[in-house]
Amino acid sequence: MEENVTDRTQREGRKSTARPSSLPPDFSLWYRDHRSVVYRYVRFRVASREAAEDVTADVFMKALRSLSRYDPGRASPKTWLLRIARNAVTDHLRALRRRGSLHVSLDRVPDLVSRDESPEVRVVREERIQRLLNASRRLRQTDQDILSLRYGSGLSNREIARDMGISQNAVAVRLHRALRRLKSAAEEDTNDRVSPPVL
Amino acid sequence: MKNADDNELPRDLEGVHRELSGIRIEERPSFAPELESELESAAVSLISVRRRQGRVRRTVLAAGAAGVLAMAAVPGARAALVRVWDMVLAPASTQVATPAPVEAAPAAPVITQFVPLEEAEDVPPEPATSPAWTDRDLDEIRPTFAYPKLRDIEESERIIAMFYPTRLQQRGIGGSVQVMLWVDENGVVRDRQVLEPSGDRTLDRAALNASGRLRFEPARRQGVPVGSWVKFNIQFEPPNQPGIVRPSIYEDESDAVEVPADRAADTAGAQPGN
Repeated sequence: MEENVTDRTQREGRKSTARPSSLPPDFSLWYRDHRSVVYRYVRFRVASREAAEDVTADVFMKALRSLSRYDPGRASPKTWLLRIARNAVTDHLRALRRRGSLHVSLDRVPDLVSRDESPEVRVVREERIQRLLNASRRLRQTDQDILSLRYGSGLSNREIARDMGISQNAVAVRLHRALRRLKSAAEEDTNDRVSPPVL
Repeated sequence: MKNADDNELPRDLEGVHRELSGIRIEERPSFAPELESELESAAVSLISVRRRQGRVRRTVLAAGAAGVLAMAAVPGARAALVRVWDMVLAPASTQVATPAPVEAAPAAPVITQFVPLEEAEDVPPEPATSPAWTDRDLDEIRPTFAYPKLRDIEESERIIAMFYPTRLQQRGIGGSVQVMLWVDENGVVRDRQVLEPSGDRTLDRAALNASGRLRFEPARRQGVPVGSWVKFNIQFEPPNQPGIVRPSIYEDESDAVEVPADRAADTAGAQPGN
């Protein structure tokens, strides 16, 4: 649910009197409201926390530089930022592919598991998440994208539908298909591990 | 992360969904303030870069304008400016400036071929105080634009006769000089150029000097007096008899006033109505 930007800017403006910022007021507001969504989307799609931080920084730098080109009539700030994030992730993965290191093992996922869990549960969960994320890297871009929005950024189907400009029903269908393909990919990985191919 | 959307999932996907929903992505606590600080620095440098670019742009424009103004203030440079303008923007214009044919009947200095701005192709730029016009502007104003006109043709001829050097008259030297004048909104000539010289520098100078004394009805744009360029030929016809100036203001020879050549200017200036 989008809030009234003017009201919120005024509210943030009062806040900002305590800590003056050189950022444009609207941008400062967007950063506080949408940074987490962007970061989680990016983190879901890249291999490590460090890479996610770099890509997220790129996203906001690009947004700051092209702030004058933002058209509120075409997209909400969150949609705009997520679009930039999508392109930034694509660029990041393309750069990795050029360096021949696209299939980086997602072996550093402690930041994806709640610290509230017991150490034993954490280890098991980390392994399962790692398996799923490794499998997700083999999915199509569109599948990765919708899974990242849903499970990375934590958006509801309605929010995804609004941001992608499609119906909720279409989101649900795409999500089901992506989950099914992810499940298949993860099962293939498991089977490969259990019974390695005969040479 | 369970919500109404989850109910729509098929049973066989619930396990994957549960696993993925269990992912808790945690940001490094110092990441947000670090990035915000980085963005603030970038914003500051972005602003300074844009200001610098704006300053450079303004400086270049100011330097260009100052250069043009400086050139406009120096007669030689101004002429060069006009020539450059002609070469760059109106390469074919010089063909228009053909001298007026010399009539068989002897006449005093006459103004011929009055060519208003509309027909003049090689028009130099307006002085810097006037805004540049686009073609669209011209299209809009043309129907309501009146070009400068001489206030009094006869008076003008008399003025030009005053400046016809007696030495040239005595030698029977005449010619045609095409001039371009900037007539301000009061009808006063504020700038003048020789477009087509006669071949005699003294005659060209005489044409320029005489032009400065001419008085015009100013050009009018939608009824409002405005400055404008106007182009016309000044033709100096030597008299039949050396030493006699016969301005064309007289309709027949009986009205001609015989004046010694060296007094021509004084006599012409003393005509009634001056």
